[in-house]
Amino acid sequence: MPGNSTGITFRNDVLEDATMFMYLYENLYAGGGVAIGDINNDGLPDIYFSATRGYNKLYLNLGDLKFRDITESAGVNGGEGLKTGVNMVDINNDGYLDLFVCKSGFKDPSLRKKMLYINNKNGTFTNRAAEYGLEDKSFTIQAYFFDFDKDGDKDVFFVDHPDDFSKTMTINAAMINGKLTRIDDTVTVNTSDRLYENRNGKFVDVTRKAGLIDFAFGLSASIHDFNNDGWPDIYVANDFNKPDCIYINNRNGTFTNRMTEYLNHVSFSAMGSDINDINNDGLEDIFVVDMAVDEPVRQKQLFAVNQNYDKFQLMIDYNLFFQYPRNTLQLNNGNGTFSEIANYSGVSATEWSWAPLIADLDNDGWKDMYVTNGLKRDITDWDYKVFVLDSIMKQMNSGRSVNLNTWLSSIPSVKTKNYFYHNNASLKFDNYSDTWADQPGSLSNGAAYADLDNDGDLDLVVSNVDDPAFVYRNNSREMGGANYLRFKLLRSKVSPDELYGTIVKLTGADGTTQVQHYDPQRGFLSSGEHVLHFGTGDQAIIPRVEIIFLSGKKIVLEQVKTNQVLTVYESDATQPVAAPLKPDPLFKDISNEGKLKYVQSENNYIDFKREPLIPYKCSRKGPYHALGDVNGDGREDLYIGGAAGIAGKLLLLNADGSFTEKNQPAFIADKSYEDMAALFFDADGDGDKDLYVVSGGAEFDRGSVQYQDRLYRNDGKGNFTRNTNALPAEGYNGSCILPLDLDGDGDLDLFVGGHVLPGKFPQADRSMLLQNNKGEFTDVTASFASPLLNPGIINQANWSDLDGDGRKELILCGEWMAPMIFTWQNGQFTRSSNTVTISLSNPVKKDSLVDLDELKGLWYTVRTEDLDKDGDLDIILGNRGLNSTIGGDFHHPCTIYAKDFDNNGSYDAVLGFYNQGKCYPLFSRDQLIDQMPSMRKKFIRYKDYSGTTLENLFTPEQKKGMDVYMARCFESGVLINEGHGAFRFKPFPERAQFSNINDLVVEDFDQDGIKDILAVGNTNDPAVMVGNYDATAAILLKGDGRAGFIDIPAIRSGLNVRGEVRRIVYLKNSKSRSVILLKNSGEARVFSVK
Amino acid sequence: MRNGKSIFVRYSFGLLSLLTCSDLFAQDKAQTLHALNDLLVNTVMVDLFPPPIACRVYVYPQIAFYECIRTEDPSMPSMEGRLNDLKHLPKTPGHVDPFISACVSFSYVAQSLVGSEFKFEEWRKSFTDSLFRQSDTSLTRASMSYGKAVADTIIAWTKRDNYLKSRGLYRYVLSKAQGAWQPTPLDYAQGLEPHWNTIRPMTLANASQFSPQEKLVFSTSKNSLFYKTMMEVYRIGNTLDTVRKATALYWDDNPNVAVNIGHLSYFVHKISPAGHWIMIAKQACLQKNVSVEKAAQVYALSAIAMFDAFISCWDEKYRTSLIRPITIINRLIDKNWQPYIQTPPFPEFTSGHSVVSNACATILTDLLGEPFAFTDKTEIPFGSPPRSFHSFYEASLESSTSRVYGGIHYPETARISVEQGKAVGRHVLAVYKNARASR
Repeated sequence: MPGNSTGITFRNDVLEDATMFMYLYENLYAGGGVAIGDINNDGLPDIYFSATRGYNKLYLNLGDLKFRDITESAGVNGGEGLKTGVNMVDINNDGYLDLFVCKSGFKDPSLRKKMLYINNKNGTFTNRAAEYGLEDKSFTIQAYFFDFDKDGDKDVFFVDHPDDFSKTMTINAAMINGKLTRIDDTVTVNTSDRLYENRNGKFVDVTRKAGLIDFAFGLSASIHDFNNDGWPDIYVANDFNKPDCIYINNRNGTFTNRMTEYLNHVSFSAMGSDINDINNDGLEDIFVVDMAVDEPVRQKQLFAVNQNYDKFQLMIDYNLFFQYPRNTLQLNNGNGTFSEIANYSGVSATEWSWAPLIADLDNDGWKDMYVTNGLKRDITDWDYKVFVLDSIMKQMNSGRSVNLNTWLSSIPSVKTKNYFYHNNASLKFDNYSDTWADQPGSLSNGAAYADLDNDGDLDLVVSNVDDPAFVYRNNSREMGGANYLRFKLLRSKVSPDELYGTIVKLTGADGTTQVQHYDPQRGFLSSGEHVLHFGTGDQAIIPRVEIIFLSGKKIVLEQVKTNQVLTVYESDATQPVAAPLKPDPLFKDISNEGKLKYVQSENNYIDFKREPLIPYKCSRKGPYHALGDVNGDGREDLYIGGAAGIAGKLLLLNADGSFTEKNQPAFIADKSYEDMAALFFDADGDGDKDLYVVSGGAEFDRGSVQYQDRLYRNDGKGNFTRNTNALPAEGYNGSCILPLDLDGDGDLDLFVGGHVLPGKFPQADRSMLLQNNKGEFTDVTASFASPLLNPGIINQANWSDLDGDGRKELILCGEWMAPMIFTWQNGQFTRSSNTVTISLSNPVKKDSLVDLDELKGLWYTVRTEDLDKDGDLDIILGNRGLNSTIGGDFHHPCTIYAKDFDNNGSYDAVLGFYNQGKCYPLFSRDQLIDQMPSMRKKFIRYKDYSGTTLENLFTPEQKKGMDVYMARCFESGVLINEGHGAFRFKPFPERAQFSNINDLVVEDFDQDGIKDILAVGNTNDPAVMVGNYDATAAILLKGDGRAGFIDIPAIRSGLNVRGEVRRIVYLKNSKSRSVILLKNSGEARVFSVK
Repeated sequence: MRNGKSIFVRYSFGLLSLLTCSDLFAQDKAQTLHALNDLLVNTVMVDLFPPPIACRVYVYPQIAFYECIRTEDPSMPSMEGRLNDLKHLPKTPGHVDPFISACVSFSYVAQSLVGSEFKFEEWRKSFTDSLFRQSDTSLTRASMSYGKAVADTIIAWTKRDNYLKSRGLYRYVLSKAQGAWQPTPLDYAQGLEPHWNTIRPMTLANASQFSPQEKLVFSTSKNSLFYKTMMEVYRIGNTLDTVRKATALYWDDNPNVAVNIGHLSYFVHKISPAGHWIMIAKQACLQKNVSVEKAAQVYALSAIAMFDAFISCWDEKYRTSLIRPITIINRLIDKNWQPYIQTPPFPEFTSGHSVVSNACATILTDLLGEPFAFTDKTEIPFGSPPRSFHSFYEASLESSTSRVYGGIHYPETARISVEQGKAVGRHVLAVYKNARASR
């Protein structure tokens, strides 16, 4: 709404002069905050703005969205200094909101004294910060009031930062006790985050005692009870090298940072944050914003961090964790872990972002998002920071004077729109930035929501640099129907102080729930209205409302009418909160029972050193395993392959269900090989299980003897010796193995799948069909199976009768290819012709019948089962998933152009993916130049490269003869067999798309007569630019008997696992069922199945 | 950031000014060659070539120019047969102006190697347009054509030097061994050009020909040479006076210094070590007012010596992969210690600047004599005032010591590197003069 209508004319004009500009204080353009609250208890929320360099403003709400500036009469202009976060908080429990102002920036400490404006209850305020012990002089971004010690008053946590921004990216290490250890700066006065304990109205610094001293560039915090123990914990979002923290309240005045136990990765340049439940599962999720850009041209031009592999590794080595330069949306799994799904949800890139707010903006019962963004100077513009600034400095060095304004105006400046995201109720958000408001570009910082006009929907107030503040009136209520329910949460009528951290839970008529905790301090530099707001959609009556207080008491209200503001007093609470039910899940982790001790170590081979532009490593696919009774005791023994340099292991199953390793000199002798798939089978017809191990790993040169597969003969007692004459000499990088009796002679022939051609990603190495002649194998691929010579990068093969003719077909799955089906007829393998029906959602929702060959994906695993009980086998496939920086769909394939474009003997594979309708290369200009020096001539400046499509990267001449690879489908799912060679693709549900699926087992786990699926995933193989897949290590998909599945969260299935799970070993006998989950770079986990 | 402060340093001289018309049409042919070198050094700097590659860009155009212009002076032998694999240079068709051919040839070769090709295209157009306006068109055409033919041969020769192929080799894989080189602040960039020893040298029989017999071997023993020389860097770094600081900054010559103030990161570009010495050669030629032929010889041999010096030095760097002072001092002695100038992203032993500068000084001393007092103004745009020397060796030795002041090299390394550089320089002269190479 225009300022002349509301009376709000506040602008945060940031003066730049010699005493203060960006190069003196990096956070200068972090801007100002907004605090909203009713300071005169007239029922209308008032607004307080902080001004970076000017004076703060207080506006009194006159009703009907009219405001009056009362700053002068109230005496709250914030004084001198650089003002940052603001709060309205009733610090003295007199029922009147006081104002709190934080400061930072200037070196002079007197300019950083915080201000506490105590409300005199007559429209005036008095700064009593010193009296209250809150005249802290640290470099503070924002204050967070909360009762950390549960003594009934509000304590306060300050998010602070060091003043020396040259230390933001350095990683200092020293030898400590013979171990290289990262060393933090020890000077933390005024720079570490601070905790002040409220002792009867006097605040005392207890930071050191609480264990909260740090050296991080914090920008926001969120108070939340992460471990559900009723004690508030602290999430701190840290900019730069230092990762975010989750300080768990130890209930004794101290805190411990346990972030890495909860999260798998965080935002690199974490800014504002908010915590709220985005999927109405009763668990609150974390949203932290960064500075990634989604607009394709600016994305390349402003790309924040050009992280190289070595530096990323260094940060991991020094416990700086996995950090990626994009927003993170951490979905709460309820079991003490979170799954980061910003890419899946479509909210990973919102420009240089400041305040994220999660709130139900349209009252439909699902919380939406609003993200402010904008930085006055595009200081991360690559041309500016590499070329323009340098030339200005040379001018100055050469004696030409450059004035500050000329310099600053040489920095590109673009005002971008803030983001509105509408929650579409399926863990995805739609970009409603142009739908919900007619937004101009702006440099927006702090923001807060409140129902300013008391009409039952949330209005927005946004502070802007160099522009008037925005006041958005929400017209949801005016436009119709949706209901709301709002809560004020106070201690008692006598002592009406607000109870931050109180949880309100609504249960609807249909059993759906909504949960929120009350805390007005959200987003960035700001604090919102002092009411907890729920939209309830078309529900006019809420059957059950639970209000749970930090004290451990609760109030339950029933049949609550909506469209009202309820004031609830803790003093009315009588019921104790019941202890949560102890879950009795299907899967129970019995890893600690000692049945199996196995830790996989991966050799440290870095594929990117040979092929810097490939999207992921191909050298860390293990461990693989084989099951078979090797000693004739009737029990299935286990072989687990080793990475290059590490021997495979034979583990014998004992009668008590435990495993004992059996020493095998032959395996140790062959440890230099990297083991891929392995198979126990009777190769030589002597009645015992021999072992075939496929050699692969992609880390050796093409054709290397290290790719020679190995056959080990069993002496019948489980002792293996290598038979070096049984297999044809070969040097193919293999992956999988499948036994099949083709010639009907009773012994098993073999299909051995080939993986990537080493050094030539994504070309495929050869696959082999091996004929078994009494234990001697011959490569007969060319004679009987020419289509199998080089079908692609194969990950797994399956031998099943799909068409019900009594003969089995060969099904292959692999990367950058469609699932392939081959029939065996007349002594030849022939590719069969199949169709698949896929449902498209883009541009319009419709079914489309296409050739199966169109279903190109990154398929890792294939199984068959009759899931819909129609008498034929369906094909179950694991894919790369939908939760990544890169992806694609049917009309927007992820595409690789590959050729030795510069004729230097190295194969250049350049990956592109679609963004806003066009396909752009993944990597940066500099990374391309490193691989292809001629690109330096084409892209002299970064702006020449920004916006270049994959198509235009090369000349028509260069593109002649190049190989094109595509992936059109990234979802895991089922190919439902519809007969006559026709299939219908049905993707798995949401959580099964959060990561890649490496392996799966189809089984009726819950014994309801319907087959379920256990799927495992995650991989740290991607390039730093892409980021780890870490959101789903294991998931149970409960079958519905119609090839449909329900994803069961870990908290209910019991599958509490993290890490990169590669394979499932399913052990079943008459007495018990168990699964072993084999991880890469980690310890195997064992679960019993109920 | 110390380097960041140079923003505010101001001096009142300009040297690396872009070419003006008066440069272009200078009567003095030597001036034109100098102007071409200004353009080359500037272009290489803005194209951000790292030091070894920058030197590769410098060297080939000088040889093209030399081969065209030398026909005027029988005392200047062809490089063909002297430089590795240089063959089939076209014979002079007779009726040409060698100077025009040389300039054209230089511009084509330079264009093929730089990123900003337009700079040399524009220069050539401007140069030839003026020729067509004022002189015999047929002679000009013949000269241009001959220059182009020489350039084509040289360009074909550049393509056989293994540079392009080396782009496809493994990037440097870090070793975790104690004392092995590790990436350094601020960018922690990966090891630069680990396979530069696969580049075809100009005169060396192989990259290891002048591998120093004396090595600096990592040790944490307090009595070891390594430990002592490391402590020397630490001591010197802690007691730097303004004179030494100025020396360190003067010879910094880092083409890409990263500066980081939070999200405000930027890069400061200086001319590379070889570029700095090309400029010293230029100033020496100007001071002595040498002919264009002599200047061509000075540039060509200087660049050749530095090119081989880089190969020799980089061969040593990645064979020994020695840890940089900042890393080891932070680990063992003082976690907060910082070198005065930024550590470039490659192993310590030997010192690139020392080897390259001393190789070049050897050439300049031989060709221009000793003592040779001169004042170097190259560093004005980079914030350092002019500096005077009595000889080229005085300058090259100072450049070597400056790396110790800067805190990026050990004194022992600097000492050994000086000898390595001189040996390469002497070898280049011997090959040029057709004498037997000697260590």
